[in-house]
Amino acid sequence: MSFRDEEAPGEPLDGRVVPSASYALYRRLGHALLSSHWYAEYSVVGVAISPEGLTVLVEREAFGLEEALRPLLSEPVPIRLVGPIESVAAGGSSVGAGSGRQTSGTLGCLVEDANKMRFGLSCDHVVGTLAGQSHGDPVWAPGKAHGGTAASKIGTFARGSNVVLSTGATNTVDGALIAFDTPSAHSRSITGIGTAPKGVNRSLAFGDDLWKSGATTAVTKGTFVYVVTLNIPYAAGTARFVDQIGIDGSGIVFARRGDSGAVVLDRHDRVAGLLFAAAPQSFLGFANPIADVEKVLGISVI
Amino acid sequence: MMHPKQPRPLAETAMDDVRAYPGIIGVAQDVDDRLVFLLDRDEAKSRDAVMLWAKAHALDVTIKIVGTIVTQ
Repeated sequence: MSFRDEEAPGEPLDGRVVPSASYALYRRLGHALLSSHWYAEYSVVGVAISPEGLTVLVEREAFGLEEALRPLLSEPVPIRLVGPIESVAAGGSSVGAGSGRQTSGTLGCLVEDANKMRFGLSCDHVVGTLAGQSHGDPVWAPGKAHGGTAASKIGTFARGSNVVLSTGATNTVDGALIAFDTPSAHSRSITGIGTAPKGVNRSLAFGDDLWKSGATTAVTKGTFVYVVTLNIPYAAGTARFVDQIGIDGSGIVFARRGDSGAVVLDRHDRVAGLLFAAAPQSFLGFANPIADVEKVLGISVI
Repeated sequence: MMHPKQPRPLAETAMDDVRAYPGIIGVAQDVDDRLVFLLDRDEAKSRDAVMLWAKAHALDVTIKIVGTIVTQ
């Protein structure tokens, strides 16, 4: 594979026009190098272009990268060590299904499975089966409702909690995992809250203070007031959930449409639940207990 | 999560018993172990059904109108 002979029209970039051949090469090289292979072997995290030419961005020292690039380029390009990429889709930011119902919600936080594979946590009705998606379908950040397009793809729907659509069911989790295209591009932080989460809280007690960061209502606070059994109306049907965390915003709306997928934190920034529904008129929010989320999805919060 | 002293299935049983009535969307248990029936709108028929259920089970319950449940 070689990109040496590629030609394409020039494209505006920051008010200037870069050479057409360079731009075409940048597009092709960016597509090729942002695969998991190039990250795993050489820690490549990006390809940049400026009027001066191309630069390959790496997270850490990458031995052998120049040689590996040689077949793809007519001349060497600079390699720039940039360190870990800070979050592009932090907890609390908008995510959504790129296909199916193209619903939008919130990215909760980063999690990992038993094999140390890193995923993003959100709700199944935001990015998973309940959103009309199948395994491998695209996930966008931001979601469509917040301006996302196909160019906003950050990963794919990996697996969900298989919510049973029945008012006699005993669902506990409306959760889904996002497999990131570039795992290193997402760091442990939650918008408006900072470096979080800091562990999990599996033994929440009535009266505990809680907060969350969601794509619609941002950071809001509430109190754990109910253990709830309730029916949730989804586009595909109604599902009963048992043993859910009921949160009262005490006169302030805790969550609205678009906040689903946010993690609910205790006062020590430990994850207590996964927000999946709300009754804004009564200032209530509802969250899946994190112990159930971990068990059903086979993950741990990191 | 701390659970109320009452066995968890009570809320599920209550929900099963009254779910056919309009507007009843959930049953919660609060810090005082009291059952709270959640309705998305005020329906006289549903209020009556809840109070009858409470009387039959000799329980003190409350009704809370919470409005429409939203997801996403």
